[in-house]
Amino acid sequence: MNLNLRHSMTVLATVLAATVFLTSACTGLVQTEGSRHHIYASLDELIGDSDLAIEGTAVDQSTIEDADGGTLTAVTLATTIQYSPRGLGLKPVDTGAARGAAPLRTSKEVLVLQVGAPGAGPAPALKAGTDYLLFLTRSGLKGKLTDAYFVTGGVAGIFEAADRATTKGATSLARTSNEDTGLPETLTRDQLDQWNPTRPS
Amino acid sequence: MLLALASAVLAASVSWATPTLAVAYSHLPCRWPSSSVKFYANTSGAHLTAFTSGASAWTGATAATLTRVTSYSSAQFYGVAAYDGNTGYDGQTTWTCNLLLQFSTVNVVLNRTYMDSYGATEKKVIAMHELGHAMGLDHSTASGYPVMASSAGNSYNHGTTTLKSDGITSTNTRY
Repeated sequence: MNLNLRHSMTVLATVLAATVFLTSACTGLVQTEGSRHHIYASLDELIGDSDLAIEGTAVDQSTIEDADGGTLTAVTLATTIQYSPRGLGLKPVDTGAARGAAPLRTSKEVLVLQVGAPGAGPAPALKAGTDYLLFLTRSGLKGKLTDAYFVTGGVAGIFEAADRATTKGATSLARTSNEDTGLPETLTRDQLDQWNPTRPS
Repeated sequence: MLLALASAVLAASVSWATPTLAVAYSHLPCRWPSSSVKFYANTSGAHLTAFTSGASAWTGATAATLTRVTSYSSAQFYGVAAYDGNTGYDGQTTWTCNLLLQFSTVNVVLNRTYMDSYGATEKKVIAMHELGHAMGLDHSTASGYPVMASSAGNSYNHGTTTLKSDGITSTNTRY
């Protein structure tokens, strides 16, 4: 085969392979973007808008459809610690929730919803096997998702474990959001221990 | 010919995959094949007004023409207002692309769980943001609280009610 022709075919094959690789990130995949309801300026604000503050491990992930045909990612969080920081739920986003209601008691497994398909929504997807501290808001949905929760602020309420060094859990948890710069970059075990930690029954 | 097509797609992919540091706006990987785009809004009342006034804002300020049509079959994408719950998002836009990096499907949802309590102008700003996504714009990191910031509601709370230069430039470089 002519060397020039062989070279041209090699270049073409390389370009096509690169094209397929690069476009596979978006083609055929359902992706979602959105406009945040609120950008959190402080931890107190995030706590006030949340109904639950829990720590645990994401154990599985599935895709479900909401009432208008949109895609939600459902993640089960195996809860190890429930927190009751001062002000929790005092200003709930869910207008149906009672202002200043007593902290909710949670079970060992909490269903957490995220907007969009797994890994293709506006917030980083919760990864199975990873430990998180989550600030959650009651879903406000009807039917089978009534007892589920959304992450408060979409991404604002996600703090990811930096390590799994001790049996008590991670020594610190890092903010995931790069938009809510008023929130602390990390929360330490010492800080969390001030929030009346309890074990869900 | 095939090489030219592949190169064009590759160039488009690279331009999406590589952040442009000199500008604050960015694009989604996909766009419409032409600057004239039609959508159908399956809602009524204040939310329909939000869609209509939001579309007019893009049409009036940019090279794109965004038209609401009343026939479902003649639309290229769809909008609705629904009670999506406490998602943390005032609105969301979901899309798929084809291999030429053109939109295959686009659906815009205004979240009534939050938006029912908003005034007309704030509803319009949220609709403008989602329609911006529907035209292929991503979030903007420009200062001055633009409509395409990650929270259009936050921009509205800081006085934004119309498109700013970054949104206009972003659209005009897209079409």
